[in-house]
Amino acid sequence: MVANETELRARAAALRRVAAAIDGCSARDLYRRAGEDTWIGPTPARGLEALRNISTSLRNAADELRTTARAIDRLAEQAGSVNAR
Amino acid sequence: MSGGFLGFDRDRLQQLRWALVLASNELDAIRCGDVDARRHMLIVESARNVLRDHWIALIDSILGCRALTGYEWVDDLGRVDGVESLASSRVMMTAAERGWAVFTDPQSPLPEPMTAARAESVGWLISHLDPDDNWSATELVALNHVLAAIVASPSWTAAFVTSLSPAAWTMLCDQLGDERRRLVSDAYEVDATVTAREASSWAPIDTAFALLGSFASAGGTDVDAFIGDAHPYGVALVVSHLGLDAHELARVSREIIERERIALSGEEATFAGERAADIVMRSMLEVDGAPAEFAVLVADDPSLALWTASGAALTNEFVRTAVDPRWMSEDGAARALAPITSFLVDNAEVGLYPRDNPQVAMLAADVMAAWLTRFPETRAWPIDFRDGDQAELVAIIRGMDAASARLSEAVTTTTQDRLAIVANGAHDATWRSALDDVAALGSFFQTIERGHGIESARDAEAMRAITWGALDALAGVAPTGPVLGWVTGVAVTAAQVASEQFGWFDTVDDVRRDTLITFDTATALVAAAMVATRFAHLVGGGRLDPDTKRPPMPDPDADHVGADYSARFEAWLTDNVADDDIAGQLNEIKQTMLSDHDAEETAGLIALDIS
Repeated sequence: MVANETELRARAAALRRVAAAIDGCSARDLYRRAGEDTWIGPTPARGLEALRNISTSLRNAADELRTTARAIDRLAEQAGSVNAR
Repeated sequence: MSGGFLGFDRDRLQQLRWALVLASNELDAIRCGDVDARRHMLIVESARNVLRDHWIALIDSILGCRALTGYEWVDDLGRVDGVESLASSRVMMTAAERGWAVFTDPQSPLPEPMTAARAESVGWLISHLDPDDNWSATELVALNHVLAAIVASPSWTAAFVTSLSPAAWTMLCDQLGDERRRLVSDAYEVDATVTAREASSWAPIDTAFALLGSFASAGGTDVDAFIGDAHPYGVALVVSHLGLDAHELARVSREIIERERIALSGEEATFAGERAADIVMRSMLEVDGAPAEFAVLVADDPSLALWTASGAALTNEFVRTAVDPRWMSEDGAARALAPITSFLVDNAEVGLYPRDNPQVAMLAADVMAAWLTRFPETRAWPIDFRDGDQAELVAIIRGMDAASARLSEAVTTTTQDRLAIVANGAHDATWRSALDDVAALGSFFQTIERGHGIESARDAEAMRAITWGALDALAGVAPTGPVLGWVTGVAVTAAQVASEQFGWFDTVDDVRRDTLITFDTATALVAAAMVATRFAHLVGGGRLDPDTKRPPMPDPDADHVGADYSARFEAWLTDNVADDDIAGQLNEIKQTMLSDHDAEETAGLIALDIS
């Protein structure tokens, strides 16, 4: 059975919205506020590192969601071609 | 406390907290039920949890100053233990520079990892310590630990040295140096010795100075700059680790020793045991040529070498090494030796010096012996003696049996090889040179002796031992052959007769007269013994008939032994040796050691003195 083209495009759009939300989240830039201008010591150093890791994880998650969305778009195109025939 | 510290800007930390809350709420609002987004939503959820449950909670504890959670405000940084300060140096430096609050932090029990920034902060921290707070043993261990970590990297070292102020160098030298002086003095005062256990008590200080020396050396610290401010004792300990070359070490050492003299005269407390002078002198002993450089450098004030170390043993070892011809050039000797011998002559028997250096006669013997071996080669003593000093010096030496023996040993060592050449070598330029060497050395001591009154039989005996130590060695170089027994007997007899001549004298006048006589006798005996060894060599080599009449021996009972022997020797030569070359060799020995002119002059002096 071939998936519905409209549903697939809706899923892809939803994933892009989530990716955009993650990219736009202020958690991505928290590390900029947590440097030695704000606090200093081993614990703050660990905090800074943790916030950098969070930023990286979120960016990677957003990128993967967009990649997944593109794959679903391709499925939607295939579904559209089949239906047209 | 078991944890470390953290410092912060309260406003910025509050802003960070608000940002964390906002971000947490934003993450909370991100939702997606798509099956392909499940893993990504877990990442979002995890990030939110980390922010909310850990970092927001942590900042709340800090800002709320919750004692129960371990975050407490440190209201007086001066009460923070030095070990903790060193472990958290960056926190301390940054907080102090920015006026931030500092809090205890139970979550950072380990020292900050070493980085260039931390190395810089350690330098900063030390530069801001209270100079009146001494280092505890625990703090010192922590300091060494941190410094050892810094010195492992050139960039960390550079950062540390740059941030360590000149005043901090001075403070460290003074604080650690004072503590070491006190510990050494306490140990020394118990029984004037230092045990390994006692030395271990200041071993951490020595480690610290070694590390400081590494920093000063690597960082190109201007040694002269901090010499000027710090106590010479601490400076000496740093300098000993700088790896300076001989010239520079000698220069800096003079500066330190001169400054120590001034410092010691102004100190209320007295310290037993080693001084800065001891430290730099030991350092110089480890650098080839440094003691010699120093001796030349202090020629204008030789007491800087001879009377500054706390113990005579170090002084004497240092001076012995300094004057060793292996390290001291002839130019250097010409400048340094006369001031040293003048100092010894002036101080050996008066004032406090003999108390401080009971081995001064031995030192004098060592100074003379060191250059004695060069004397026959140069035919010039490198010491431009002050008038009368050479005789005075020999008088000091003969006042101690061991010193006399030392100088006598040097004479024997110097002449032994040459005597063997004269006895057994080919009749060539080398042979003549060896003969001249032996004669020159004998004349040197004879001249000294005649320039200085001998006032006791003991003096005379010591002088004989010094001057004619070579006589005893003659038997040892006698050639093998048909007349070996005879020549050995001559040498031994000559030595015995020379010795017996120095009997006990009743008066000073007797001594003077008999000194002339005995030297005349001893010279004739040496000449005869050397002729005998050469005679034996010529017989052994078939150049002379074994039945040739033996050369004459001096008559110790004659009024003028030398003149009498010369006359009888020449008669023997004419009557018994037909070969001109052989006669020439034997006559050369006799004439070189005892010329007719000298023999007649001595005879005249003896006659004059007796009259």
